[in-house]
Amino acid sequence: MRRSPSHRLPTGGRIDRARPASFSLDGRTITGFAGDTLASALLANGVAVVGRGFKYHRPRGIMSAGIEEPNALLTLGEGGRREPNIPATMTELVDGVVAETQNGWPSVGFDLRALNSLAAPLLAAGFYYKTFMGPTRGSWMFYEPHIRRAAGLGKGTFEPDPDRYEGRHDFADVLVVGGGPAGLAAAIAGGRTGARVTLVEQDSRLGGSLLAEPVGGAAEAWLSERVAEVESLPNIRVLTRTTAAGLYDGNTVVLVERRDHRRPDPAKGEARQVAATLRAKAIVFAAGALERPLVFNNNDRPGVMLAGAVRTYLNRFAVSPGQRAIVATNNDSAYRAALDLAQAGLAVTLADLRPDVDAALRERTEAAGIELRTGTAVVDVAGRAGAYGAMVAAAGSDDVPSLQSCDVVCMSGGWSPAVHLTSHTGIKPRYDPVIAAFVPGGFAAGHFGAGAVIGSFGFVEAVRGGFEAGRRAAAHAGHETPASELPLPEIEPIGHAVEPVWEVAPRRGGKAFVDFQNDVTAKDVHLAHREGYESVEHLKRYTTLGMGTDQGKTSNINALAIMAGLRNVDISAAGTTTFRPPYSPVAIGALAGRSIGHHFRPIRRSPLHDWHIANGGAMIEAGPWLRAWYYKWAGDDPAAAYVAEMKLVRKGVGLADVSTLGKIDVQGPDSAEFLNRVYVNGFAKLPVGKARYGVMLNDDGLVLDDGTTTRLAETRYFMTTTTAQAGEVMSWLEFLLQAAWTDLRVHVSSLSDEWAAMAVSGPKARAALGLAFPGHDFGNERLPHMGCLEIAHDGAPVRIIRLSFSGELAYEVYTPADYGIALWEHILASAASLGIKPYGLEALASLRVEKGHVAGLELDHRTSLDDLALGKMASKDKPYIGRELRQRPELQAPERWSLVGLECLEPAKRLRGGAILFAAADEIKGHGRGYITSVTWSTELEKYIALGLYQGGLKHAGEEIVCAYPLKDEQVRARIVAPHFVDPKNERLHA
Amino acid sequence: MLEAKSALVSALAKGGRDGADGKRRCRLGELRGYVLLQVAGFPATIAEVERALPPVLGASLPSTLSETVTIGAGRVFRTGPEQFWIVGPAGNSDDAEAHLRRAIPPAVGAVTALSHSRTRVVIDGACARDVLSKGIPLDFDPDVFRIDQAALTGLHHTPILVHRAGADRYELYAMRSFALSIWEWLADAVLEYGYDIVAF
Repeated sequence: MRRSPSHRLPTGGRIDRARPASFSLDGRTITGFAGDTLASALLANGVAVVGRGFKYHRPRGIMSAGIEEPNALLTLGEGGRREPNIPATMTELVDGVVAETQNGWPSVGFDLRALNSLAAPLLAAGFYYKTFMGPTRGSWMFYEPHIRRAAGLGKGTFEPDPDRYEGRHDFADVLVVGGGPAGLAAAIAGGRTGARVTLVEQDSRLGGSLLAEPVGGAAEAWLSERVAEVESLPNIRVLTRTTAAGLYDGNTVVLVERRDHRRPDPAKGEARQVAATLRAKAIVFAAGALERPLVFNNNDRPGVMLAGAVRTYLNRFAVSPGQRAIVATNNDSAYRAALDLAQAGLAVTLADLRPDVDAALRERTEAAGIELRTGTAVVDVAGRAGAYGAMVAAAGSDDVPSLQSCDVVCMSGGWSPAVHLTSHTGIKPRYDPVIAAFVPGGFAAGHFGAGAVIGSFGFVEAVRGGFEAGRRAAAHAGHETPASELPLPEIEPIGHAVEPVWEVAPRRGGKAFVDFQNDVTAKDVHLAHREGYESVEHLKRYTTLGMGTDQGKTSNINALAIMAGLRNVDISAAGTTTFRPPYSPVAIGALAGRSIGHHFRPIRRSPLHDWHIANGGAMIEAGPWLRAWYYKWAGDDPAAAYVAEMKLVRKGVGLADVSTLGKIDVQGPDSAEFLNRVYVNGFAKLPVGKARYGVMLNDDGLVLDDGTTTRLAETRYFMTTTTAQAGEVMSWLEFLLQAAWTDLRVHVSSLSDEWAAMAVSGPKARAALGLAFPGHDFGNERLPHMGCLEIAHDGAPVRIIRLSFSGELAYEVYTPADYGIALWEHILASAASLGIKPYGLEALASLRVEKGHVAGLELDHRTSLDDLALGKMASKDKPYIGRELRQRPELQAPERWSLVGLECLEPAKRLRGGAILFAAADEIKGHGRGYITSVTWSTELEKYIALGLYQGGLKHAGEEIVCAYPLKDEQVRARIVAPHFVDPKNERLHA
Repeated sequence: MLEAKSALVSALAKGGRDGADGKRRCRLGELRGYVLLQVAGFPATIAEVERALPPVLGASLPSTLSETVTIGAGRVFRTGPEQFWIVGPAGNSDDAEAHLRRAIPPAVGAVTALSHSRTRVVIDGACARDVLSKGIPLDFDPDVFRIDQAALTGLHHTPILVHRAGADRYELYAMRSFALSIWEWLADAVLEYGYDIVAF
């Protein structure tokens, strides 16, 4: 980096010279003041080169003073806080900031990768598709990593971000986007009506374009008074350092607020960024406009800057560019920069591309000692790592240009309203030839615009327009109190009259940049046109212009205007690409907020959860639930533990937490009819006090869910569903009652959280219940298989339903959730002499495989009743959902994959879930004839068994097949058997 | 009597924390010892339900979802076009349910006990609205969400009923199975403000 003497002016600027601050850049300390940005501090210290171009690695300096900055991108922070591609122009100088330059190796000052420039002809637009395509088909994969290393912006980090980000919901009557003159006026107008106003401003302070005005002038006084009024009104909330990132339907705007300047401590709950979703009744857009560069050779050199930015650095940050300035422009606005530079003592030459200039403006300019040359163009820049002169010639001529020395070239190609946010919901901007720029194409009801964003560039227009927009916005939100007028700033007007020149005298040789961040030159635009990529969408993607982190804020309009010229069409016909949120880059952390780690989504816990944790339960995620997978008493290794738990249930008695099952209360005179319509089998005639297994289908004839429903009273049923489908079934039942069968007098309520549920399972289960609830009869007559008993224990209601998932004698015991742990502990303690112990999800799932019960893995919404050998359940007497479509030919086809059992024939191997099934003689290739759905080690048969779906199903019982698992290159022989491995006659259930 | 345990036992035991500036601006806690009964009519019988309930409750019924009505030490919420929640102190729980079933026979409506299905979390303090705004998409402006109004909404991807029970006091009825997750979310959101855990 070239170092020059300090460029800081001794007085002036909106910086606080009483509070010096410093930051480190590539290890070197750079000093400035509170109120500086990193960019202004760098310029004050004479730092010229702050980065390297993306492709060609040309040295680059600071070009702008705002969010549109394409060059001065730094990596901020260390370790987990490292954040690449942050514009130095948008970063407040706070003590201790650590920054690195990017894309230069070994440094931006001396970058070996600049040798890329020599390969420039090979790196023109579209080079990926042309140059590096051979000699073989795989060649690109060789070149790609090298190209990737040689090009690009900053590097991120894989370390976790230690900072805290939050989300928030906000509401307002009026949202005002932009705190410049128009926005301030709008906020005040709205605020005076009593409306709730939120004013957001991207910068660290209010003022917008007024911050570029000289300190101590009329503008500053006006600004101070307006800020004071805004702060005095309690119904106006001001959010600075806040970007309106996106506009969405329903008047919803996402705001991202940055709080790094407060040094937030995440350990104390302080967030560094907050993303707010704000719903407003009305929105005023006052987002201002962005200046365009001029397109001439070497316009990317350090020391070539936007004219408005130079003025901002001069007046807001008290940074002078040097001794001599050249201002190149096609519009009036740059004259302000020229006048202020001359006032600060620089020698200024103003090269205006236009042949004529307003006489009063000319007089004023020349009176200030500025050399004014109309009909003159800057056609080139001299100086590689820092401009030392500009090549000047008559506009549109082939004259040999003359070198004029300077320290800075200020360029202004006109101003583009920041139409991004206003276009997010799809209203495309339209071209206004008078200002040679795009303006919002219209506003939806409740949306208003004012100031530069709608092409009203003057202060007086902005303030008047803003005030009116604020008043109308408040009225739209229902606040009509008339508000008095605002005083107008007394600022000598200089207009924005413009004659567009999109490309300054294209010359052979040299590079005239259109997109500075992605290194796209005017030649690339010409090339795209020659090759037929002339629509603005193709132009963008073929050249990559507008695709950088700056999203083309300084390049889009120049590029499409050049293309329109080449195509010989109006700019309005060329159109723009689509603007999408976010307006500027948003940290992913801000979008994630606190939905991180365990709180990525909520965790659902059983009422018995605390007991499992305290008693050796190893927990596992099952959907949103945490469930006890196995218990440590059974072993430390899950593979061994579940086997021990299975043995306990088959031989003794175990206790399992089944609280996660869906439980639904069904009440009403038409409950029986309702269940008859929903289940394939009958429930209307189920006696009170009895339970029945039921299956329900979707409209399409495929199985939705299964469960057990118990009749508690004539008009009351207690339905259970699978854990996974609980929510879906509940929604389905509500939908049926609210939309399909509104005449049925039925009400459904979820009881999933109301009741704890535990399964007492095993040959000793009856004995266990007898010990836990002495004084109650659990014999076969009092409580037969599929019977229900309601008792009380110690003041708590207990419902016992005799049914079995495991295939052993078993009972489901329900009690209200708060009593769950106490009852669980009571059962364990009472039946301790029987050796009762808890068993977990793995054993639960495995026991049912031995019994041949289908569960979630088989009920995957692709299987039909007949696939699962449950066709006989379907009633022939009553209508039910899915009845017609389950008969469709596709679901009756004989070659469908249907349920089979599998026994592993190779003791040294195992069966795996998902294994693909082939007939013994098949080639092992493709999708096979089916797959394994559920697997377990069978403690009864002492071998691996499985359930699966196989083409033709049990027609092939007895056959030997192959289970292939290509991911592990395994093939295992198995035999097809009936899926009921244990107690096929159900003797244990009826014990 | 079989011991009743809250879903938040371990969380409540952890105690409060100082905020970023060392203060504790909010109080968090769980409300227990209440009864929650749901009464629902069918579309054809709702008028009858709405006639039968007021005499039993000793109060009129809320006409909108955001209105609630005080009944002695309890409250009635309307949770659907044909659905009400009645929340009251425990102690007479069996009586309350029996009274309601007598007033609303099975042909007319459905009474369902839901006292264990929700965990009632309370946040009280100057920062309560800011904390809840971090996760609940409602306008908590005190002039918009007024005292004794309620809303059926969501927090942390779960359904929640929010009741503004006082000037700065909000009660959340969270699903019991999500209660600890919701509590952890709240304790994290209130961290910068600091909080005490109190028995409500």
